[in-house]
Amino acid sequence: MNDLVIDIKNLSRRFGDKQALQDVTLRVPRGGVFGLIGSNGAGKTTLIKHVLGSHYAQSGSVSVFGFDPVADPVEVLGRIGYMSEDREVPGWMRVQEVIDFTRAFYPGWDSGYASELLELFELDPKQKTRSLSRGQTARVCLLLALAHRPELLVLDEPSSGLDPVIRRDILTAIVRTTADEGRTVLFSSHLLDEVQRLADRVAILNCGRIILSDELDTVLDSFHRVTLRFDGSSDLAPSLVGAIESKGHGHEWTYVYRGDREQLIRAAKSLNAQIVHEVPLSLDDIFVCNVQRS
Amino acid sequence: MQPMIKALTWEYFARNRWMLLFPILANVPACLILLPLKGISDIDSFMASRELIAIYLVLFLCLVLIVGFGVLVTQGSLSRLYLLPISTLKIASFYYWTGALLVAVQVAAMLYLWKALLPIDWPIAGPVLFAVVCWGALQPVVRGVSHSLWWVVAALAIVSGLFYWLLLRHGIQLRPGAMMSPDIHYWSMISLADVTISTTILSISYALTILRVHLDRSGRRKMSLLERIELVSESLQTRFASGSRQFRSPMESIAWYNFRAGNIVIPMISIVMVAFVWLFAVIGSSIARDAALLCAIPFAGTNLAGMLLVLTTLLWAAIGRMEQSLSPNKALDQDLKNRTPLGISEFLYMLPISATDIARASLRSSALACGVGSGVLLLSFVFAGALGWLLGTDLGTTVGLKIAYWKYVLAVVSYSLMMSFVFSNSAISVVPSLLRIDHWIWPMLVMAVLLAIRTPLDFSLSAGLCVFALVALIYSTIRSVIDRDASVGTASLIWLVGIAFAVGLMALLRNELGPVGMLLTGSLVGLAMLPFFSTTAGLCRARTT
Repeated sequence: MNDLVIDIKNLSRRFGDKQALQDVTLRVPRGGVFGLIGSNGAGKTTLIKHVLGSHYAQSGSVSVFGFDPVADPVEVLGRIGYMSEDREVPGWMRVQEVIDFTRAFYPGWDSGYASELLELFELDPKQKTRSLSRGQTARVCLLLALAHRPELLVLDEPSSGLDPVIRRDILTAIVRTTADEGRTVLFSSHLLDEVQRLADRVAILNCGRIILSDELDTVLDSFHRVTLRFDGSSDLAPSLVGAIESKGHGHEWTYVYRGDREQLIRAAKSLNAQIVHEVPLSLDDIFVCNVQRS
Repeated sequence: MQPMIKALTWEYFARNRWMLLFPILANVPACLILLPLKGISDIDSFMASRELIAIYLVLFLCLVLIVGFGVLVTQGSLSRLYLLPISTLKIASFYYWTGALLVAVQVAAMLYLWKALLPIDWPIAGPVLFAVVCWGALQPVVRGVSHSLWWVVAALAIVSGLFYWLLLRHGIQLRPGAMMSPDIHYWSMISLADVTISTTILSISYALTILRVHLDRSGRRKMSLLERIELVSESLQTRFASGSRQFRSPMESIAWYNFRAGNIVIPMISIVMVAFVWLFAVIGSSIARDAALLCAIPFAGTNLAGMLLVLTTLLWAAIGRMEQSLSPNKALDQDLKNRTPLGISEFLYMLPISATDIARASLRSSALACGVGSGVLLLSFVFAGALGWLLGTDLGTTVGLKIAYWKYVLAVVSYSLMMSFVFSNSAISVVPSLLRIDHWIWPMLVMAVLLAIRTPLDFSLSAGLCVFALVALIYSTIRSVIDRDASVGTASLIWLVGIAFAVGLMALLRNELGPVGMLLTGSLVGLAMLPFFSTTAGLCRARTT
């Protein structure tokens, strides 16, 4: 059995003059939470639309559960729960009607779970969806995405419109439970604390390119901010192998360093420098650093 | 000029630099009509002829409509400026007066172009004044957010009033045979009355526009009657809403969605109209104590209901397209996916259902809607005819029909059924075919050949349309069979039924239709068959970009 839920190879996509995705290669393994992070306009939604078969691959290939989502939309979409960034639901339907309507498409629809979520999200089934607030609409969309217990849950900016209670407690619980049941969650966000809290793996997308993709712990372990004291004073930062950012003056220079700690110690020793301060980088710092660099 | 006005002016021209050329392109058909008239030798007497005045009036009204609509679309919604620190007076004034100026300039330019084409001294000032007054009078109606279609009624009332003014200024009275009057003339002089009318209308409409924009901006827009009715209906629905709904299959679910989301309007129009005319007939015949009215009024009313049925589907389809053109910031694929009200939204595309099944469900839903709509018309006609027979009056003779009553009824019902079906499926199925240049090569060739051998224009155009329908249908059939959207057996069956229907209808009306009517009937049947082959492909295109 293929262990990859999503397998994207060298995907490129252009809209007119804008290169939305460029040579993107991404593999999302089965199980766990995969966080896709990037600034606004980085290409997150475009990438997700390719996964859903809403955009065809101009070059490269996209495979979801081993199928081409454009050629086999029924096979792919039947196993995906998707919550779009736009939170689109037909305004003329009542909440119960949207649920009934959507249920017809998923043989695995769990009515008990849907009722549970309806109660948890405090939604009135008789209410017209056009009279719902943005947050309530987001809850309806989340319910629709979850109730058929999809193998792959795709959430595009899930926190947008959700209040802090739902976001921190319920969304976190749902995403973790889904992942713990062996299913996969792919979610895009630019709220990095949320990604750090939820994700097992992350990929950073910038200007249509994947600039970093790995397990979250590996990513967090491999970036350090270190302050080195050198014997001699210098106006320019001494060259440290593995450093991706530097600032300081005179004897003391602070680096953002990528690599393991042993390598760092060896590199510092080779420059006759002493490590005076060292802190791990948050995902936020890592993201900013990588985006600025790229 | 203030920086804000400069910025708004720049934004308008920067956003619409190409759109502003649209009236010139839209004027090409008018020029094509006018150019052949250039060869008339006795141009002076032709200039004053009633025929030319009639042609001129129709072309002029089309011009005002195109220019006015174009300026309105290019200006876009005012609400995007509501959060900027600009006074409501400035927002309303800027769009009102710059729009009026643009309408005046464009109409004047087009009229000069017409004058250049034909050596006729057509007036400029009066028509330009009329165009500006039209623009101003409609501003309070079209500005601001409206959630109901009452604006259409208000706009029709205003346009009717203005049309009456235009007719009067051309010496045309509202009475039978008025077009034959020798007093018909051009609007060559602006009288004091014209100035008074214009000033009054512009002042009132300007004040009302400011008020409307003010109410809209402050969120104090009054609810229309239809909105209030809708609100009450929603509240009742919420209170007495039934429990869960069970759909047996995704296709049934989609068919229900399509019907409730838009197609329901089609039978509703017929049912409401027919019920209304029968009620009116009962009351009218009781008051007038004339039993013949009991069947004559429903006959006339059912005809009107048939026309309304077709016009409503056309209007719905046009609104669907207009909404796309009003959102230039959206990507084209987004426009296609968010198409409303007879289209299919993005919400559906994310559901695990094939485009073929969506197409089948959509066609089933629209066929049901149009079938019920036309069926109601048929029942009403049959009932009116039966009532006439019972009352001992020949309805056909009473209403002055030149063909047998049953033939007339079958023709009206068949044509309204086909036309409403074509229009209700136009967004996804028919319009994409119309926009394909390669589909027009053969029709153009046929029309060119026919015109070259001096075949009458109406016949040539009908033949062109018929060839277009045939080309589009053949292409879509082959495409759908290759893509396996339709099996060879299904395609053959649809063709067989379509051909049998067309032949039957033409045979039935062979004495009444004439060659042009035959060609148009053939075209209509072809266009009505088109959605069966092109909807799946249209949905696939919309689903994946």
